[in-house]
Amino acid sequence: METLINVNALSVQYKEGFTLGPISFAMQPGECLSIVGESGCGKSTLAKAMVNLLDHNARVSGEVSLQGQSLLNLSPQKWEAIRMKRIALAFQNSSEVLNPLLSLGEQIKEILKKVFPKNSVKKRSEQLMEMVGLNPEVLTQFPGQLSGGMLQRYLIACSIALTPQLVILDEPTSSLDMHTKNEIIALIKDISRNYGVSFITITHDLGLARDISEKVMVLYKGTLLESGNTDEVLESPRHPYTRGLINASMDIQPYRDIWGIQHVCECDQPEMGCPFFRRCHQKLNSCREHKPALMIEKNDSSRRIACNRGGIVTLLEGYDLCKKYGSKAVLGNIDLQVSSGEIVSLVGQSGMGKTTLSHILGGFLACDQGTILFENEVADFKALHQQKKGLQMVFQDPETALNQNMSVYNCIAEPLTLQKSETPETLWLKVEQILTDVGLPSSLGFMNQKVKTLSGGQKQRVSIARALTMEPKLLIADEPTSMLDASSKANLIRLLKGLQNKHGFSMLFVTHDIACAMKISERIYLIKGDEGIQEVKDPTKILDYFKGEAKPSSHASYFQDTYHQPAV
Amino acid sequence: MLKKIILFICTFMVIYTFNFFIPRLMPGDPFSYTSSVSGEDIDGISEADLETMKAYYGLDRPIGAQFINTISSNLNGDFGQSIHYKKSVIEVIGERLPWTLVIMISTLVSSLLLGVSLALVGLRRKKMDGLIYTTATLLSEIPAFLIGILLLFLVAAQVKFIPLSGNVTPFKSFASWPAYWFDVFIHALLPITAMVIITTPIFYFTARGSFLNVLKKTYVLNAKGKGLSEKQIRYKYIVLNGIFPVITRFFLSVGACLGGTILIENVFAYPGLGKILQEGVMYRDYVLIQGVFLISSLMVLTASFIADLINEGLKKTRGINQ
Ligand SMILES: Nc1ncnc2c1ncn2[C@@H]1O[C@H](COP(=O)(O)OP(=O)(O)OP(=O)(O)O)[C@@H](O)[C@H]1O
Ligand code: SF4
Ligand SMILES: [Mg+2]
Repeated sequence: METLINVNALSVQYKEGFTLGPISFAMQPGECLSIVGESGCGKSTLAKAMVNLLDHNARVSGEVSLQGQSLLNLSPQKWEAIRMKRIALAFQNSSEVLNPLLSLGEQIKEILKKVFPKNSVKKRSEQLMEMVGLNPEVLTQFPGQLSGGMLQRYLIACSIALTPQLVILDEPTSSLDMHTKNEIIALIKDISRNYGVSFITITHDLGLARDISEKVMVLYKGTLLESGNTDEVLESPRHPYTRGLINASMDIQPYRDIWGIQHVCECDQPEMGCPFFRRCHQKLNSCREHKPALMIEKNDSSRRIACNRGGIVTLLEGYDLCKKYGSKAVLGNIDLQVSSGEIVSLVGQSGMGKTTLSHILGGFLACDQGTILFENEVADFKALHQQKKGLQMVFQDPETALNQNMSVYNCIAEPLTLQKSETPETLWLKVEQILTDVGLPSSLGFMNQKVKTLSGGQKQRVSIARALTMEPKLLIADEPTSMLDASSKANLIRLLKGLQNKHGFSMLFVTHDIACAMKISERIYLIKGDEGIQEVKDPTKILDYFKGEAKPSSHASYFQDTYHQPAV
Repeated sequence: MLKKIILFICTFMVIYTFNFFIPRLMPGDPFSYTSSVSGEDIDGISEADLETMKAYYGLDRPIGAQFINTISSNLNGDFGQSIHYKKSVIEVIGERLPWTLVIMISTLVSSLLLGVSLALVGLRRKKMDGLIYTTATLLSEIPAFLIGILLLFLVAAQVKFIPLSGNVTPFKSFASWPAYWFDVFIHALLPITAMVIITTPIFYFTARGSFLNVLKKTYVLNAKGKGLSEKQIRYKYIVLNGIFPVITRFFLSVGACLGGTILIENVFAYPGLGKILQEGVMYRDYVLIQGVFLISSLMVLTASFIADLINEGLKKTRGINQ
């Protein structure tokens, strides 16, 4: 099939400073592509660059060709002949996209009469209105008299009026309700399938991207960070930024808690290096100078990512772990990975070895068989525990985990004191900061209080604070909330999730509470004792597993003598 | 809307009041001048005569009573007798107003067209825009009467068929209407030209600013994206959307234009309102001054009222709310 549009090293530089690209991609007829990214990342700029609608303050270089015809240096007359007929752009909806003084009918007529005979224009505009679910009567109205959603549909109708081969839709559904949105999606897919029209959809709605497009490109500060097949990218993002976007998107996470990507001051953003540097939690020092190129993934040729570390790195890997207590096999065939910056939950029924596994992975218990890798090397737990940027654990029961007779200050400062890396002043400041972080008072009185005088929730916070002083890359938390009441539990979990989002450490969260796991984690492992472990793709199904089946017969023989059937 | 009408009436009443008192607060009185102008060779008038005259014109009464009296006769359509011309004020103004209107309307209409056209030319060519902009800036700094005098010296004095003053050639009978109108035209030509020179920059600046503003709107870019021709975009998008501030300016300029015309009329001895106003002030002809001011302020107020109406009506029919 002939390539429909080929974009080669397209780059835009605004005088005011923003730079887009270089960006390259190609599209086949009938293909649908989404461009996603945060506000201001250059999505609209890319769209306008492709159809030559940028202002004079923008310098464009590179190449765009439509079916082999180069577009960027065409004369205005030639462009007039291409616009709407071969390429159409539906602008991002705003109150200023349409001429406020011309009726909608007049404005669509301007388009239609370029191609169709005068007498058919009226009928065609009415058909188009019906297609996008508008009453043809709107044609007599003026833009100021319509709602945002109606205008958006009208703009879509205009863009397909002359049956172009490529339609670029800039935020086509941002002000539509769910129902209308689905109708528009269906319409676009229908047109695309039946007539081979290609659509580029610009959006920050990942749900729309998922529903409407086969391919997706993720743009950040004018740079393409990841691209690939939409389903695969959304299912398993490879770039930390893409993952951040997904975690922040309600559209595709019906039950998960929403967390935005941490915003940081742009003061230290390197000119040259990776554009995501400031917000990246797995950056290397070299990322500051070295801007990653967009590369094809090793084992997936449809996926391209721009990251010096080849995308999200794997932090902890366990292979074929087994554990026996005496002759009883508790764990067997355990394979699992935890990537950098993600929250993984380990769920399982009581007695299935959750705590055992977490202690093994945390290096507090030796396993009988198998290997544990930390950052691709066999884990040296002693070093990981004692050094910063290693691995820390928060235990189920703070009573036993903390020395109850220590003061709060000493308890939190202990790991750092042992490390001897801090002066007393900086140590004090650190402890003060971390106490604030975990939501505890940082007053002198509180710091001198003995741990045993604290409440359960406070103790657990202290043990989290103690772990965080070491700035771990991985935090393993074993049922940290099981001793707490509902409200303290909610507070603590939000605190942990918030700290994770802020500091970007990975977390292995062990729990028997599926609802909680579903809320906070990106991936869930279901542990089945010595039968191994299984990643749960659709957590809503896991509930069935946990429901269990009541066995009516089992209690019958026991109770039938003592309890009497109620009289009917 | 009702608010606008009430505002209109209130403004008018304030102006009306000022209009009554200001001439009366000026030093001097009408009768010190009356005699000398009528050409009779009298040195002064006796106290008794003065009293009689004052009584005749009602000027001997307390000022409050005069005010109420004026209002009531104004309401009956009586605007009094001009002390100087010895005719009813309505008659005097009725004779002169049309001539002023000829100049004002011609000026406003031609300046509007010229200003908008210049703005459009500048829109298409950057270099021309710079040139026009500079020229307009310079011109708008020169006072009207100076331009009038320059025109008198440079044009009227050189070109035979352009008269130096007046509105029509006196004592001439015209063979046909066109001949009459041509005479009127040729007399009005210089005053109008002078006025157009100072008024055009106002419309030019307004139009230019407004067009540039429209040019920034997304719908212009969208129109380009629709593949419309430059001409279509210019008229149906830029001019259509940008013209309203210019039209508003048109009506709001009535006051300034009237002021300018009054000055220019004196330069060219053109017998419009300016001329009678000058004489009215000179001879303290309160009644006449009052009449001229009244008609002027009525014109200005009505014009800005119309400007408001147009804007409101447009916004209402097109669903624009700002
Ligand atoms: N005409 C312009 N002149 C100068 N800078 C511009 C212009 N238009 C956009 N920019 C800048 O370019 C960057 C990208 O803007 P763009 O409109 O492409 O973002 P976007 O991804 O479409 O955002 P959104 O989702 O909010 O529509 C922004 O930093 C913006 O300030
Ligand atoms: S690891 Fe480096 S290159 Fe990759 S996203 Fe982070 S900062 Fe950018
Ligand atoms: Mg945009």
